[in-house]
Amino acid sequence: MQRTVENPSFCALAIETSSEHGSVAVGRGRSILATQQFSRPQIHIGAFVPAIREVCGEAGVKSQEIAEIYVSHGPGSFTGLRLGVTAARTIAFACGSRLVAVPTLEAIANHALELATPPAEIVVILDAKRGHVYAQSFKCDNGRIQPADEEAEVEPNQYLLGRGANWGIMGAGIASHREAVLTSGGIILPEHLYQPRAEIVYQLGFERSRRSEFVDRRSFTPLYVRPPEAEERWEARHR
Amino acid sequence: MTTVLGIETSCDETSAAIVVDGREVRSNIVASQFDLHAKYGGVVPEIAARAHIERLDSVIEEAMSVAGVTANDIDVIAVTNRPGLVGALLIGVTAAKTLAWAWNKPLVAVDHIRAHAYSTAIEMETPPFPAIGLIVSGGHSSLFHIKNPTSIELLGATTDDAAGEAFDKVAVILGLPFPGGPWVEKVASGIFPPGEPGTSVRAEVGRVPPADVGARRDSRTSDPLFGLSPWLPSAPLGKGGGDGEAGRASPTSAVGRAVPTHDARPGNPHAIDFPRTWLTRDSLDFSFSGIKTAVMYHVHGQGKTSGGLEKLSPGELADIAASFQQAMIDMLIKKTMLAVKRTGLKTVVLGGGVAANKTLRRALEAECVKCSMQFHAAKMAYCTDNGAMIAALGYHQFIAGDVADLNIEAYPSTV
Repeated sequence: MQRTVENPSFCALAIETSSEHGSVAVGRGRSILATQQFSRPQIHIGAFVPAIREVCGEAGVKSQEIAEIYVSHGPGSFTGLRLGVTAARTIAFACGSRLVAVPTLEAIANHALELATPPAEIVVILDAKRGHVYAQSFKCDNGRIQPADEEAEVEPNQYLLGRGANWGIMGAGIASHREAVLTSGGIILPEHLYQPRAEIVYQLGFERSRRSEFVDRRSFTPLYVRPPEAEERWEARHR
Repeated sequence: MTTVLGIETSCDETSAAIVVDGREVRSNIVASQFDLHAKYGGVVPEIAARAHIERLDSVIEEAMSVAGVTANDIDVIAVTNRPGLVGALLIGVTAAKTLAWAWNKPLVAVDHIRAHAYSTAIEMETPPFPAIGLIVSGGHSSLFHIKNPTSIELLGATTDDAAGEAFDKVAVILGLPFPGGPWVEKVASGIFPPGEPGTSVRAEVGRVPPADVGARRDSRTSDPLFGLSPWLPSAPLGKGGGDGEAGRASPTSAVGRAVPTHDARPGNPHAIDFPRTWLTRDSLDFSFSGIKTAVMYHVHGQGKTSGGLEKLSPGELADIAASFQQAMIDMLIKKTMLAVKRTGLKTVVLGGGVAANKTLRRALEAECVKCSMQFHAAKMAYCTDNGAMIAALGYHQFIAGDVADLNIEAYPSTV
């Protein structure tokens, strides 16, 4: 089968398992053919692979036709991310598909484009426990979202303060860090935009694949941002 | 001819194997994570899960390459889905489900402990069943009535620590390096590990939270004093590793004192009368937490949890290790023979990581010979966690029609 970026009709699969609600989408070229959602992928892992089977069945796409896989690779739930990356690597191995890593916080930030007038600057935060958040800032310019810094685990007050006016904040981390968010002066964007969805992962993945931004299967891992807790403690004891 | 791909990620070994007809092992690739967990003195679930995801597809690829098979040659995908560390299991389960869908193959979900019970039959022309199976590892100690490959009835199990866990914890008490279980057998025979003070896992004792480090599959205990370590008989053991004399080259003991080689002597298994726990008179369950505590108080002093180790000579350490090991073996053998008596079976099989303990293998075999019974121990390669036993039992489950759906999940405990 011809699997080149010039082929406009290849099939692709998008996977989003980083958060509370997982979803998968399958499409051909730019067009999404079918999507499916499932809840709590990090707890109910059983529903995930059947969702891939069903979404492909609905779209009439065979596994061997999947030329590209777009995966929301983090940060987010470690377990959820591992589900998505494992399935993606396995399909890439089994079907020879190419992999594109889609940054999860960027996927969330792109939901802000659904607003009539999105703010010029957008901060996305997810709860990272232990009083911290995973955070990243984006510029919104001419209907495009561009990262202004890299994903990081930060103390929310420190990260959010001193940003001036006309910036928006979004993400599931707001609920756990409401005080820091309220004192920061950021405009809290509507909650229905916080959940990353496979459709946006598909769109961002497709754009990256046009730019040939593929990742090597063997070295592709979730973007954890944070090392394992045991490793942090060990490092602290032996510093 | 039925070719099965077996996948195993229940704890800290990433493994895949190709097995034909449940017997002929074409490949069995095991990527151990020993090096990643050693400094913590036990298996760290989060680190195990991260390592599985990095290695599994390459391990499967290698298993297929070594066996010389392509996807078209594989008839069934078998995977461990219980018991184990759920975060580790789900990597293998998700990969297996994805492969089953992508290649349109039937999927079989395999119980890891039952696969250990079956592992004694791998490569045998005729499986040695029915038999009593003693399956002992870092996470489990179970007695099974193995009627046939797919009818394996649990007769008894540990009520607290697993046998391998007890060995590992005693290794920590004796200041032996990770993985400690195999070192207990070495020290019992007068062979000491190399190392300087503080290089053993003992430095971590009491400071490693049990929820973070040392989780075991289906572990029933949470002991704040110990970072549990897996039983890894294939892991490097001292200078040169492996069996035999290699460890004797070391000039220092586990606790860092000079141990002239000629002073090292085998321990006396009857030097200390550590308590054997029988539970009720007819019980086929095990309990090993009492003996661990007895060893701890013997070394540190009654009621104490530290100190005293530095006062022990190499000979005394060897005596403690040998006496502890003997007590463990006594309990394992007595319960096994009780199960034999109760069922009237004529065969005993031994599997699991602790089955790599040669003293246990010899003692159980001698007991079986004495009672005119057949004895089979799993080959060393199938004592540790491995994909071959998953593929082998998976074959029998497939033939029996026990095929799983793509919605299977991963579970911490056995059924």
